[in-house]
Amino acid sequence: MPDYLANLTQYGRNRLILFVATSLLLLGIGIALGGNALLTITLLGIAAMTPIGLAAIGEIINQRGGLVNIGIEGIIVIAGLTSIWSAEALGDPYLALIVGMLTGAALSFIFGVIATYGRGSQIIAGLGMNLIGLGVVAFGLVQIWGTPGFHMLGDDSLRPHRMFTPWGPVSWLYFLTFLFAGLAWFMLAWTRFGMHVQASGNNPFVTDANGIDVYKVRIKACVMGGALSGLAGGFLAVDYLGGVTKDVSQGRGFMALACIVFSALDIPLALGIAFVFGLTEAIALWVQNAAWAKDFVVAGGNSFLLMIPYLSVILALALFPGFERLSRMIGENYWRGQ
Amino acid sequence: MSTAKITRTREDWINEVSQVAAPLLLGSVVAIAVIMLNGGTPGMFFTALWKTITSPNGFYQTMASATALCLTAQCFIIGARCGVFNIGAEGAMFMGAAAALYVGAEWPMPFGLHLLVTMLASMVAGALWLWPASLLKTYRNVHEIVTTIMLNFIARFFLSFLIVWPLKDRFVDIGAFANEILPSARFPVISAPLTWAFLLALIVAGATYVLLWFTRLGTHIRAAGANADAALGAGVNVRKLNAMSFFLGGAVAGLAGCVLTAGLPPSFTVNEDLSALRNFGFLGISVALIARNHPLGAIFAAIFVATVRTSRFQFQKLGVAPEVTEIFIGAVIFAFAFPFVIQSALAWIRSRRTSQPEGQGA
Repeated sequence: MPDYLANLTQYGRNRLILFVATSLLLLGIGIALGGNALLTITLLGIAAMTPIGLAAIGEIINQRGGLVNIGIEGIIVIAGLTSIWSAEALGDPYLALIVGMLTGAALSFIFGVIATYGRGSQIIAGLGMNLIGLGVVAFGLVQIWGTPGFHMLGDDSLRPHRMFTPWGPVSWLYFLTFLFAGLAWFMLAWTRFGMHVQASGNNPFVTDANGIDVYKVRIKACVMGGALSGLAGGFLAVDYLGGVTKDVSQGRGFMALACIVFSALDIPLALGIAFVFGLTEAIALWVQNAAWAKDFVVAGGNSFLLMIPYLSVILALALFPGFERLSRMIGENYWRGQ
Repeated sequence: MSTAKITRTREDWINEVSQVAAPLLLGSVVAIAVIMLNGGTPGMFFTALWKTITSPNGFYQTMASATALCLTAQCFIIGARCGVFNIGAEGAMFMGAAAALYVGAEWPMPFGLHLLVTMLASMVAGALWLWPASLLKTYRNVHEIVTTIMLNFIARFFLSFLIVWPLKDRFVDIGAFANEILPSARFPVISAPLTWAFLLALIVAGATYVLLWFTRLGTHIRAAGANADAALGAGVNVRKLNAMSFFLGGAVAGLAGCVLTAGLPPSFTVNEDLSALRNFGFLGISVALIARNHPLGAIFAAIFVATVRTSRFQFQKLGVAPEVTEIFIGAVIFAFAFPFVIQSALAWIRSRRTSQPEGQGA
């Protein structure tokens, strides 16, 4: 093995493997289906990646600080509801996205306070958040629009601006995901606050002894992460679907968690695997609409195709060697004065 | 077996009870607030719950739901006692239902035997379904929450695929219906939705209790859950026990799937939408939390949660959106996350009560 390969860190090795695997996958699709289909599927994949990737970046910031919020699924659905509601009430999709972010931030502020000052169990609080989210959305749909199950935006001008290419629409929010990824990486690696976040994740005892308020740092990180999860919900509702359904996120919050487990809190790796998950979703979507698969889909293959993204998560987690470089106190409670 | 007798003082009991009562109270407050937002009165909340449990229809429906909830709760309880946060009951339940639909409909057999084989098949299907989660936890260090949730989604779509394709009985306007389970594989009916399956839930709850507290395996499971490092030091194979808790929990949850298909009267069939099965696994978690992870307490907690679940029909009658029940359960679970707040509130009340007469201040 050449030196530059032998000297790779675990992150570097996994990034390399993932990059090669994804390229091979795309190449295979391109050879099998042709260039146009490849571009269509890639665009669909990036669209499906965006909510997962945004939520994953947010949760990475959060988990670097030591808190584990498994309630992002609930945050995504509630943010989806509020952003659709505000899109209709305010008449502007960008304000709606901001409202979605604010919703996510507010919900994770509650979570953060409970997990620090309230000395609560993070797992159970997150689980409760998910269940409340499902209830609130189902209730809100009936309450606001009187339609149980779903509500679609009537007017296309209420959706963010998209560029139309021959292979499908491109939303500028795709680029925003990468921008946020870069910002999050910069913040965690190069700013004083990012250092504080990492320190409170790795060793809150010493951090506290150095006069940094661990609780406040953790809550701030949690709110930032929640805002990104809220943006994911807003994107999903206002941009991607153009409406909100009872289970709008379909487990995307948990897919984001799977990305984080896979990437061990590394942002490029998380984005990469989010793209792979999005790609499997896109392939399923593409097969659903393909002419040759019509008989199969109508006969009952539809549910089978819907299974694919979740199967790919299990497979990805099983195939790649697990490695640990998480924050050391991740998910563990740190209570001051104990 | 000699264990040190734990004596509880009155304060301990107050603590224990308040740990359950306070979240329920908080959940009720949230639910009542939501009902009032909806234009109702606080009384509606209690009326709906009371009418559900007292009307004969509601009672039988409640008990039938409680049967399945009690079983899915045992899945979470066995995991939690072993230190595993196993929320895969939903998926294991779906696979148990799939096995019951296949064996119950396709393999004709004499009456008692067929039922036993169906139950066994459901248990095996449920237990095997959670195997990947256990393997990934052991060898890839993946937290079981992520894997079990993914397995839940896979199981849901897989079962609806099975119902649409291989296990299909007939197509009607609203979708496909699953195979009818033969009468020889069904539990005898008591009244409307309630069958003798509820006896099975009681037996399983008792068996889980005996297993956890009166057998070697159960003691090891609880030791691994209480302090994994200490248990490892004492020579307990924690990894094996984790896998064991997944298997046992999956088997019990699979049985819940059997109860929800073979354990309901023939007029209740499963359609492609799976609306008859969905959410029982997740509600099982709330049952386990309300029961403070005690297998026998789960019986009563299951009846309570089933009442709330069934009360959606009563809420609908009163003109309140039935989703308020979901918000109620979610708020209760959320409130279970912060026992410390409740404890400090109790301590504060206590300190006021004791200090005020002496005039010392809090």
